[in-house]
Amino acid sequence: MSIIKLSEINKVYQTKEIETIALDHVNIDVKRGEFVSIMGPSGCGKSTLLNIIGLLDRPNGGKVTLLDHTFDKSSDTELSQFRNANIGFVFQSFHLIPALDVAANVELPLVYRTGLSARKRREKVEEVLQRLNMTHRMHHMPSELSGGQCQRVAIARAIVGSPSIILADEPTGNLDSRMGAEVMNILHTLNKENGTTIVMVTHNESQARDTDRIIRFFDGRVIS
Amino acid sequence: MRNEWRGNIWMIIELTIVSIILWFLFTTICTIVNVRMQHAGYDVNDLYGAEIKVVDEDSPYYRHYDSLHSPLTDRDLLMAKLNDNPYVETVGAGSNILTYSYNMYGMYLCHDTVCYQGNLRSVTPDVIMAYKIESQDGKTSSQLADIISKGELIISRPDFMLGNRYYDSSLFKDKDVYWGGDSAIVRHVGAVAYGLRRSDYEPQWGVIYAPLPDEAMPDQMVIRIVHGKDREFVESMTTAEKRAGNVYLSNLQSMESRREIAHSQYNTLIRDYLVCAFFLMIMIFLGFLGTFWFRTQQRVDEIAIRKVNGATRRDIMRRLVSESLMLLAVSTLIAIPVELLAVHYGLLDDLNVTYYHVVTLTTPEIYQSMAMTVGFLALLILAGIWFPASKAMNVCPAQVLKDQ
Amino acid sequence: MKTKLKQIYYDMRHQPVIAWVTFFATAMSVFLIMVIIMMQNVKSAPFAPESCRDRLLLGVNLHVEDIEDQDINSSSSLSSVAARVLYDDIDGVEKISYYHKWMDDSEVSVPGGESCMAQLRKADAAFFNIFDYTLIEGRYYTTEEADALMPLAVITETVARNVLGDAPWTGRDIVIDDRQYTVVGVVRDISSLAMTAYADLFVPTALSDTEGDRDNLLGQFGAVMVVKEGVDFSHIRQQVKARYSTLDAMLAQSGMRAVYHEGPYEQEVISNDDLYSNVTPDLTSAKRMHLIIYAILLLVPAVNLSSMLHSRLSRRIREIGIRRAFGCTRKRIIADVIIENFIVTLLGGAVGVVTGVIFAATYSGLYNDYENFRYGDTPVMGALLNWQTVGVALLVCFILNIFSAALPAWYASSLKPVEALNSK
Repeated sequence: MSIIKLSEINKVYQTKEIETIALDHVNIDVKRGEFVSIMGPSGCGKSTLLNIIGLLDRPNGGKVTLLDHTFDKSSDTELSQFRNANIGFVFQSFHLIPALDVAANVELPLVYRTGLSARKRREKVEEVLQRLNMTHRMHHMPSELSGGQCQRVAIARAIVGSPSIILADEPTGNLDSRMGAEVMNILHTLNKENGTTIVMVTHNESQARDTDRIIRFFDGRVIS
Repeated sequence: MRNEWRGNIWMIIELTIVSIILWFLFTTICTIVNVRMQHAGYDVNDLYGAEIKVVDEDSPYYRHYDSLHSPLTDRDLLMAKLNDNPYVETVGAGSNILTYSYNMYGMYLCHDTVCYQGNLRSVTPDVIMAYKIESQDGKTSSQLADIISKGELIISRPDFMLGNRYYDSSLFKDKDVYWGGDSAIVRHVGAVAYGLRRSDYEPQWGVIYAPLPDEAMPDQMVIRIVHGKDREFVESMTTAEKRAGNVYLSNLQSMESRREIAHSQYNTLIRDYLVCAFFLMIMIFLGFLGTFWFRTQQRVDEIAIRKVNGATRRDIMRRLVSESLMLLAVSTLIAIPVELLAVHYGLLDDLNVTYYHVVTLTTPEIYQSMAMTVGFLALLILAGIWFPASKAMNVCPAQVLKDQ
Repeated sequence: MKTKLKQIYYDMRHQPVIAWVTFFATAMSVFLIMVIIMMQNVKSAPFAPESCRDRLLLGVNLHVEDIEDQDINSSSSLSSVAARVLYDDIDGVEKISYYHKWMDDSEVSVPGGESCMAQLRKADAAFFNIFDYTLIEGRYYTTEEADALMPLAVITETVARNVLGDAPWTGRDIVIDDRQYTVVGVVRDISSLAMTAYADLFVPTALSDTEGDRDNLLGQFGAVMVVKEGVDFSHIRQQVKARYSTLDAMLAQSGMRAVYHEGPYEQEVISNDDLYSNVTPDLTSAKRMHLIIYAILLLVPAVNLSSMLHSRLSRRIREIGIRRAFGCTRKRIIADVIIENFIVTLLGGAVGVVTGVIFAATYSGLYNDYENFRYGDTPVMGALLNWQTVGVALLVCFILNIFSAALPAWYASSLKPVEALNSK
């Protein structure tokens, strides 16, 4: 049963002078509980693909189906709400909000969810931080953390709302190998223990080999 | 770059609004100050004013007269006492002779078909001497006093026309006129002189100086004292000195203090307008400080690269200054037509401060204040960008490029 | 909320110039608006001795013109006859007092002593019933004494001290403009902001006193009324207007008529108009002027604040992208920007209010544009600070916030999440 289904997705960036085809009739199918990596050279459209799966960007053509929902006619608000409930993001450069401490950063997706009391939110945050072994950093600011710690906080933020899909854009790209391995460990654990579907863009061949499936990309097309 | 373009629009909008308002405030202030600065034609320094009062007959303090005495003899006695005071130079009595006092009492004089209207001030020759009133046709104060002694009238030359009654005073000079339009009363206008104004902020009105008949009881007095002897004079004016029989002086005050009181509302207005102008200028200062601080922060890289490529601190400063002054130039170009249109359509006529002082396209004040507006804004803009600019100039290229 | 405060604190530390400019501009405009409002407030808010301002009406003018030629006209305060015709026994009036509209600059002294200037008000005994002066010695003169025009005086503390020296003052004689009076009461100095109730000396008058009348209808009297609780001012005005026909009948023989100018006037008119006796008070231009001033004081800083906020947000584009990625809706972004900005505005506004009140309480020159000397110019705190002032301050902050935050908030919400995430 597929949880992510992309059919005939096109994405074209247009400026006055040139037209860049980022995605060219892309078809992808990801099953529930799968851990998929996407590989390809820089600028081949990997990140664009991730943004389209994450509903951060709309394709020019084709159809995105996530958890049996389609989004052709969805409003911006509906997309936001769907993202909030079902998708967690992990970015290469962590993207923590510098003004907020660790707990507040992790809490972020819950803030945008209705019907959750402050106490309940706090409990969830603590639970997730404990799981990732970051409770002692709870009240630190992002600037006081190492890169690996930042990415752990970012993962905590991605999973705190219990999404069924996690989209990770080169999550280890800014980390040294030891920390990178640690982050990969966490992702694998999530995938196995919670059954969370993970789509990860990576340049690292060995990390990719550890996942269930590798989708190779070149010039906006899936080549294998 | 697009953001800066957007920011510039904001700055221009703000500058334009502020320019127009500042111009309005400055026009008002300039008008008031110019009216205030105009040549008065009389001298209120070292001058005191008082009211002359007579004790009521039913007062317990009333002294009854015998056949030889009357309030008029008391008046003469009082004047003589004052003239004997070593600190007094000249004493003059009359009716409606105090400046800084709003008396509307008017009279008109007709010659042929035209009439001159003015505030009637009944004077004795000594009033002319005490005020040192100057003529507008080459006479001395004592010659003017002589004209009053002869029983003739003196009129002033008003600065403005109102309705159909303020005619050119030269039409009446050396002419016989009908007093109040009544052909039975013929008087002669002997000279044209500066009129006593009711306030320094008021332009020159029509004023008629008429001799106060000797048998009329004056109700006001002006006293010129010896220069610098204010304290001595005031101390010498005890209750006994201010009184002769039933006649006494009340509310003796220097003209300066009368002026303070009469001008309080103009002073308040000028103060309020200056506060507004100050506020707006501070806003411009803060706006440029904040915006340019942000911009130079955003452009640190650019500035660093320019420095690497040989731009001097001066070049960078010049760039920022010319950029900000360009904004001022654009907003001024928008503001000026708006201001001229406002004058053209009479929007400034509502200014009650410029009392009968009609603002037209030929009024110098509106251009004075345009220049003032641009000048002040330029200063504040430069002050506002000084801090961010000097910070930007001190950028160390190596540091910035390394951070990248 | 706590998160927002932290965010603001972080902003202030990391972008100090922009934060301080924002803060200072807000504080300054709220300060100025507060001061203007307080200047207006002291003119209309009730305070002792004019505690009855809400229900106060003044009928002080009469304008008479020739039926054929309106250039022939005269106007001034009322004669005792006109005062009686227009204002006696009006339905809905709780208290009425007749007094002289204009005060006299008077010389006051002990018999044979040196004199000083003070402002003299002639008023009947009911005047003290309408205005709540603070009596510190003796009593007020009674209706009987006033009707008999007895030479009695009520004076203020400063005048008592200046003229008579040390207390007790009652029972002693003073000379006011060559007439001798006996002091019966001494009241605490009256705030110069009390437009109708102010005076340094009060001596009796009554409608039986015709000394100040210029002719049958014009004279020196005015009527000050306190209407009953719940009675509409228009109810009083209608009756007064109807009584003008009586005046017209009295004037008919001389070919004149009385012109009604929408009197008697309430405090708002009294405080904002010169009350010329021959024109109908018009508050529209005064009100328009105030609106223009408020608009300027709000708009100019709003443009500034808006561009500051825009700059602040430009630094936070990526953060907005992150929030959008995790499910924050556009509306939520707009709301957050506006609320966050409102907190900053409130902080600046609070400083503005506090400095405004301190300034207004210490700088009495703010209100004194009287054309005459007055003793005892204490501003009245009660009139300055009330729920209205605070409410207006809040409203000002709110408007300033909406003006300045609307566009930047819209800009922030319209950012595309992808572009925002990838911004520098």
